[in-house]
Amino acid sequence: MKKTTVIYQDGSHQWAVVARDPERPNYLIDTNEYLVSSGDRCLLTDPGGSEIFAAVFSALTMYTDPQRIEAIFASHQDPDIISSLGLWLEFNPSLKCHLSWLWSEFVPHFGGTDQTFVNIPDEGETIRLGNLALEALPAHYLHSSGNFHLYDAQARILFSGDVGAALLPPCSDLFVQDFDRHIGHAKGFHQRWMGSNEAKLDWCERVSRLPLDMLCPQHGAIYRGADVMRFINWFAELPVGSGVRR
Amino acid sequence: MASAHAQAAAANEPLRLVVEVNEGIRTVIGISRQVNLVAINAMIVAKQAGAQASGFRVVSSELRRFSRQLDGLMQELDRFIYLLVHSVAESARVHRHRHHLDGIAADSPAAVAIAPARAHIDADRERVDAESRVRWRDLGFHLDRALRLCGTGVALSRAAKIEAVYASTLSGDLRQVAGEIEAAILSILDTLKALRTGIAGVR
Repeated sequence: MKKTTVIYQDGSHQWAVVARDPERPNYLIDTNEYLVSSGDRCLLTDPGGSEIFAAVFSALTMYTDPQRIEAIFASHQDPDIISSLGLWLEFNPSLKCHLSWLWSEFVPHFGGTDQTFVNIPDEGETIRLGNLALEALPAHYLHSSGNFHLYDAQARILFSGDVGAALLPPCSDLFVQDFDRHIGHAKGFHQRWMGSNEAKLDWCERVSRLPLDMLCPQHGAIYRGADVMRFINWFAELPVGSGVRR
Repeated sequence: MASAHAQAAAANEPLRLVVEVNEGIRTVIGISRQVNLVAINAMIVAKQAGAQASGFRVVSSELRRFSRQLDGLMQELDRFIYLLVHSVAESARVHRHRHHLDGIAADSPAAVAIAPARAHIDADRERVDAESRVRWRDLGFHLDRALRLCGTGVALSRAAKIEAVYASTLSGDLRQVAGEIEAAILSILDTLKALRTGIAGVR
């Protein structure tokens, strides 16, 4: 079963990650789900595919009352990101899903109605969770054409979706321990899945100006401290859209 | 893994049957239209044969009516196919949802939290399955109607064979036409019987 680990806490303001399922079938990509809590209100980022709903739900329930989850943030439209939406709505039909407007007519194929979705405009917007203000930052074309990351200025954490992702061996560390060794697992992924050098440089320029303690991707390990900037610099120099095997 | 494959195969069974029924309906519509054409030709030939073939002309006209009725019945079945596909898809979705919840350990706090959602899905599953059963049953009733109609068609085609004997000089031609019609209707009957047997086991 997946495990929930708290990665940030300041009173009732918390970030927890649900990760590392030793029972995950090897045909499913491993994913990280992040639960942001403010008081008794919670938001879940990229809740994952329906195949792992049971594992994510079970791990979260060990940590909190899942009824507190009032919103989902979907960085983009892929099945490993949001295909469990229909199951989450079975559990809580009033759940809101924040998602790029671009996918507002696509993702409902996984579940939900026009009451479910809160469309994020291209320029991004503030998502309020109790007293907490979370920023949906544009990350279009990284890798999806309608793509957002979620920034918590108070916690200095950026949920970065597929940016920073790495395809690691099973049960790897939750945090990046050796950047140079780790980045080898991230290189091919970014070359193939990130399609625009222009979008990448724009993202690097904007994100490098943010005060950041942690960069939390949807796959792989979390970058913290100096590794955050190391990653941004590495990514800025990596030619992307070049990963096609010939 | 074997049980997952078996589950998937079992889940696909109703869809396979729907496809089979749909193909059967197309076949019946095709043959029924052939019967209509052959019956029109038979009526023309019978008219040429004069008063001696008047009985054959009447039967041919009845055969045309039969083929049109059968065609209409098959068009109605099209609507059933649409509803059945809808039922099968809905049933697959609900069963899949339920299957995803089965991964939650029964003795965990998550099982307690998810219990209302599980009950909701179960109620949904019962509703969808009941709806599906009604639709399969109605399809069966419609096929029964078509089979009864075909019984009339077979009787008509045999009457045509008898009437052909009285058509003097054209008797040979008309007997051949009547034989073709009978063979076509028997083939429709076989197709409908196979479909009826195929769906008999659906619960």
